Amino acid sequence: MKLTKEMISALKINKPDDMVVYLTTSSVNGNSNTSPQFFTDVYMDEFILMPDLFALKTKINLNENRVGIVTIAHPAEGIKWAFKGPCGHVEWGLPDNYDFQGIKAGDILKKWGEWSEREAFSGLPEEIRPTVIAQRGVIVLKVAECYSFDANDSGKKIL
Amino acid sequence: MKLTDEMKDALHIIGSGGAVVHLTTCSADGKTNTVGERFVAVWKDEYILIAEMFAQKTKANLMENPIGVITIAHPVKGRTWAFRGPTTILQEGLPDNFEFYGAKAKDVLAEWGNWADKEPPSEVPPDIRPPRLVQRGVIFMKVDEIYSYKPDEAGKKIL
Amino acid sequence: MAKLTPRMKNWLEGLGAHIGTATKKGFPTVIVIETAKVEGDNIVKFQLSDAQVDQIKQNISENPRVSIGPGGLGCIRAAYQFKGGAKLEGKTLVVEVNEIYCTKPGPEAALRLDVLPYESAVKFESTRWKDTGPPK
Repeated sequence: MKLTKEMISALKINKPDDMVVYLTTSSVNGNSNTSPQFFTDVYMDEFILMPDLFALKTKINLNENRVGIVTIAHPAEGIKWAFKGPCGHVEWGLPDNYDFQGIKAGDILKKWGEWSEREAFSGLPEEIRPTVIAQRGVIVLKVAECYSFDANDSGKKIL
Repeated sequence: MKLTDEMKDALHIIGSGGAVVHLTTCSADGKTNTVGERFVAVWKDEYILIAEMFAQKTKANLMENPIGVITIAHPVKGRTWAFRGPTTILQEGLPDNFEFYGAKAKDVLAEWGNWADKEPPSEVPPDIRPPRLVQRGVIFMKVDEIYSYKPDEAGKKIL
Repeated sequence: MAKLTPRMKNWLEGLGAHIGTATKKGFPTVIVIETAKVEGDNIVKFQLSDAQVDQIKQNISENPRVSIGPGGLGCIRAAYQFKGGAKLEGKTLVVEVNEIYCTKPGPEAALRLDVLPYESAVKFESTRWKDTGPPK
């Protein structure tokens, strides 16, 4: 599902990038996990990418249940979007031709495997900036559904 | 509790004459996790360290229940030892004065924070060699107790 | 339901396992058994010594969940972890495996295999490992 230009603009790498999203995943028996993601980009208009920097329970969940939801966290005024779809993590070490939902690991890692080359982590406030960046790969969500989380029409399909 | 010289010899990576170990941790409500670890070393005769590279459930467990058991896995050579004690993860980015049972994170990480440089994993066969060593810190145990896992004396205190 | 592949079965039966147990408040104890018997799709039986029974019986009675790492060379070559519920039948520890993980260091570390269709799990391991069990 292709995102709108407005969505792509909000989620792609911007300077300065003040957009924060939440990524929610779930274990196979329904134990959910919601973690903030400070960096996002968009690939081929329908994949949301996030660097795998400190994912822990997110990865545990994705290793057994490949679905996720990205919600706009801040600033969300007027863009109360939730993006849901197949979600996986493309890690360093996978073969270049490893396929996730139609995209190849090699293409993703070549471009976003060293995220700091595209977007400086120094943009983060000092108190939450990691001392050591050790990127393991890229978390990928293929958008299959987009709904509103606005209180008045929560769950309403946008795309 | 000081480890014996023979124990210290065993607790090195295989290329340095040591053994692979299993590390067992558990959640706060007792769900255990047992994984093989090959990057092992001893610190100041009474702590055992393991490179933190791909830990997921281990890390999640230690975040809520900082205790572990390390058992010699292979080659055993009559070394049927289980080491148990408080265990944590010393991560890059901790305050300089962070201490765990008498050990300063800063000192431990200064020596073992970059395992690939200190002890390159050149002996690891290609099919199990990690594709990219991305270390964030060390798993760190203060040995409190050592017992035998030999079947006819399982649980017998050694030290 | 989890289903062990022939390779998993061969490694467990050939070299046994390190078995993690814990109290319900999370204090762990590990025993090591040098052989095992796999029955059906997901039942693994271990014969324990008296000392091993004494060491874990309290844990198993209050918290039956156990983790299993393949023993000996299996810790390297058989990069799996099995989890399940255990009970003691005399000196036999009977484990019903209900979770299987890949523990190969790298991008697939911690990947859960029992949620894949069985054929996919077999294919997964056959493309990553050449052996079908421990060396004779």
